[in-house]
Amino acid sequence: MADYGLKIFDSSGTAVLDTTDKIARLRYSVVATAGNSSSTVLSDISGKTTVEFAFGLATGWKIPHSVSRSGTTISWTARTMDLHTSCDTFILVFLYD
Amino acid sequence: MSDYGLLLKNNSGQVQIDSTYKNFAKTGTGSGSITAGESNSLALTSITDPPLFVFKPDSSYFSQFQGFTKSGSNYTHAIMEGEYSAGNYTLYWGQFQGSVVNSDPTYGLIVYNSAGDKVFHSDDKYFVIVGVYSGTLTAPANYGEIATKYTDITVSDATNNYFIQSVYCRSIHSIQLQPSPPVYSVWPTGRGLKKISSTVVRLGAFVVYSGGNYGANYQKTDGWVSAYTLIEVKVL
Repeated sequence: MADYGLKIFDSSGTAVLDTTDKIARLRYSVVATAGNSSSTVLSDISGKTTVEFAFGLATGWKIPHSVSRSGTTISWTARTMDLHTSCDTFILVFLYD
Repeated sequence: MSDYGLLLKNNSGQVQIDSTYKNFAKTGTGSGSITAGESNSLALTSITDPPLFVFKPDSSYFSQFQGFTKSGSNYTHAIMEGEYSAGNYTLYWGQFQGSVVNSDPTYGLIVYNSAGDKVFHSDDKYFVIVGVYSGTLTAPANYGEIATKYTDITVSDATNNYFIQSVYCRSIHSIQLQPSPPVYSVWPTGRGLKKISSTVVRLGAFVVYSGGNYGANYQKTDGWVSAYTLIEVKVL
């Protein structure tokens, strides 16, 4: 048993939070519309660790946006390829530091 | 530093809970049968907010998450791509959403933000990040390169943990099936995950299915992003 921190159990006795866990906190999310590229500045993530990812919200020869971070700017870019079109995309930015 | 609420750190000094940002909570887990192609549909717990989808890689075949389908305003199914050579296999998955799932418990801990929204609820099961792995894997230039485009990633637990790969990739490659008259076929290709051992997963290019005839020089790689992010998560 750790002598610091918080360990939380659910009603079944399963630990839902332990002192070693890294549970990600959602800093930002947006549904990027098909074909539109954009970015946002999240000034409070300076010096913090984030993870960004993107999921397509449609299927069938659809291509979701890509997402990247540069400094405090999160950018998402619509993509297409032959026979495939851009789709609405769920962009997520989690803090986990 | 907030002047209200709770700031909780783990034993590495990393913030687990604060009074500003919500944690992602599990809304469902399940398993489904996967086979070759891009029409594998896994029924989710239907929700109106876009979910976060994770899965355990199979030990024999690559899989790639393609996207969600909706019924009305609800997200209802996750669509998976299975490897062209695959027989049936079972894929285990989990889904999360960014709001508190459970109703108020009669005991435990609830954390609110300044707007009065719940950001943590001890009856929910949260999205625990075990590892984040980033790198590059370029697209195969042609059909012959598909089998050579992979990277093996050492993870914490490839058997019990779940994974997210970002971002979805697609390339298409033509090969000649017969010389005269010349017949060609295209091979839509994805970037998927496969379990190699209890601590290694393979991120690699794989053929999803065989398509139509687009001529000899049909090589399309602009649906591929070399940079990848692989996230390993524990699902309680």
